[in-house]
Amino acid sequence: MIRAFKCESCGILMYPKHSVCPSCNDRNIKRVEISDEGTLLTYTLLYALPEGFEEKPLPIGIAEFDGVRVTGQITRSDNLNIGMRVKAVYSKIREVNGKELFGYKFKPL
Amino acid sequence: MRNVAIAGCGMTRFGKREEGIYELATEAALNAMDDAEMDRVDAIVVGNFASGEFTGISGIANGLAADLNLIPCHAEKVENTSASGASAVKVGLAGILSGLYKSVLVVGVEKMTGIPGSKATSIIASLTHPEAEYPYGVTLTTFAGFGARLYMHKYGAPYECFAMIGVKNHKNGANNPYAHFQKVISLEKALQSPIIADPLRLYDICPISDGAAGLVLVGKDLIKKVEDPVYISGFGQATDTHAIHERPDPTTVEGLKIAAEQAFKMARKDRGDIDVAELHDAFTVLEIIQSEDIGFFKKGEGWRAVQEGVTEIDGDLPISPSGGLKARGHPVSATGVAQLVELTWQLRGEAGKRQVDGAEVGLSCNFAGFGNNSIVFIVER
Repeated sequence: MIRAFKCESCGILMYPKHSVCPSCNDRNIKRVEISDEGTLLTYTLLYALPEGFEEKPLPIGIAEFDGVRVTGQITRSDNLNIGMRVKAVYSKIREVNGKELFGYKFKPL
Repeated sequence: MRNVAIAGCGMTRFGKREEGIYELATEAALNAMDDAEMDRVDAIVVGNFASGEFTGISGIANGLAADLNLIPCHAEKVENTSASGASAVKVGLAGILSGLYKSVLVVGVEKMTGIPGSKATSIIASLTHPEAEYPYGVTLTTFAGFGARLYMHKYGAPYECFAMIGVKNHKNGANNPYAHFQKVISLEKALQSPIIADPLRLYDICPISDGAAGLVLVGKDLIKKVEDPVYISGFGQATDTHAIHERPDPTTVEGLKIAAEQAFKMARKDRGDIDVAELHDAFTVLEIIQSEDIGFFKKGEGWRAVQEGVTEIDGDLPISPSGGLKARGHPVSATGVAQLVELTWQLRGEAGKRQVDGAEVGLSCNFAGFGNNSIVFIVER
């Protein structure tokens, strides 16, 4: 599941979390789980890598889950298409000073 | 509005420079002061994104005041990522309009080379969302790849329309002695250059540069002493979402639409009045998106303008005769000031081989991040 956030007042879903609801200005924002199956909105294969990344290219995309958009890495670099179905998997996305960081990776279905 | 004028302007050549950040800032500042024929100002505003991270130096506005013998003038540094230059101009403008100052020296400066490219990329990427973007390896170039692919998909634009912007801006930069790259490139070379953020290639992406640019702004009391004033007649600014994926349409920057509307309203001008524009083509796709969101072209049709020659120096709406960020280079915080230096030269008729005939009204657009903050100026004779 994907961890998104919901405004308890107006009910909109958001990601990332906002301290103040972008729709109704309420501050009562709660964590909710949404579907981890979504649609790829756009993507790129990155060859100019920031520090801490070695393997080229780095596939990154934006996908939409239950109307909520999330930026994440993609599990492969070939056969990608806008509109394809993906499943978000919570896994290792980078290492910083020997410590593993976790986040969303989109696996094409 | 004709209450604030550019009394003088100047810049350093952009590129990989031997000099340090102070030498660059001083060169641009003195060029601007000499051009204005002034040796005193009430305040200095320095636009700078990350002198601490890039060079380990801080406090540059105060250091500059001392070096230029401008003590006890007011001084501060203004930071707004890649729009730090335009933000510094805005702070100077606001200082004069408030009545606090009669004259302000604005300097935009960035020293970026001398550290590994991946380190520079990470410093710039630190402006992305710290939880939802940055940890994934997201950079500004990543957003450009997202935007270019989605734009092609939505509007049927071919990749060539991006490459042609790189070719146009290199052609313009070849006639700008201050540009980082002063070299014409062929479309074939652009089309065959290495992929950096698929579908974008090397010639779609601005370089990492060093450089500085300066302006002397004066208010009503001093304008009458200026021989050939260029007025800042319009200003607009708006922020937008932090995470790019939160925008309803990632190929549209709503903040820029708002900023442009504010600037046109203040200047009492419309799109058709603009003779020359300097846009923020950190990536070729941004020149198209900005030209649409400012309202020069309909959404989804801006890509045709470059193919039809509309945005060439001799076209109906010349965009970035300086060479833009692509060819003039992009020392992050110098860019927003350099855009106004170029427009000042264009409006005075001093732009040499890249002169736009009869330019009387100009527009600049400086972007923080990927449009996280858009700043628009309109200048006129």
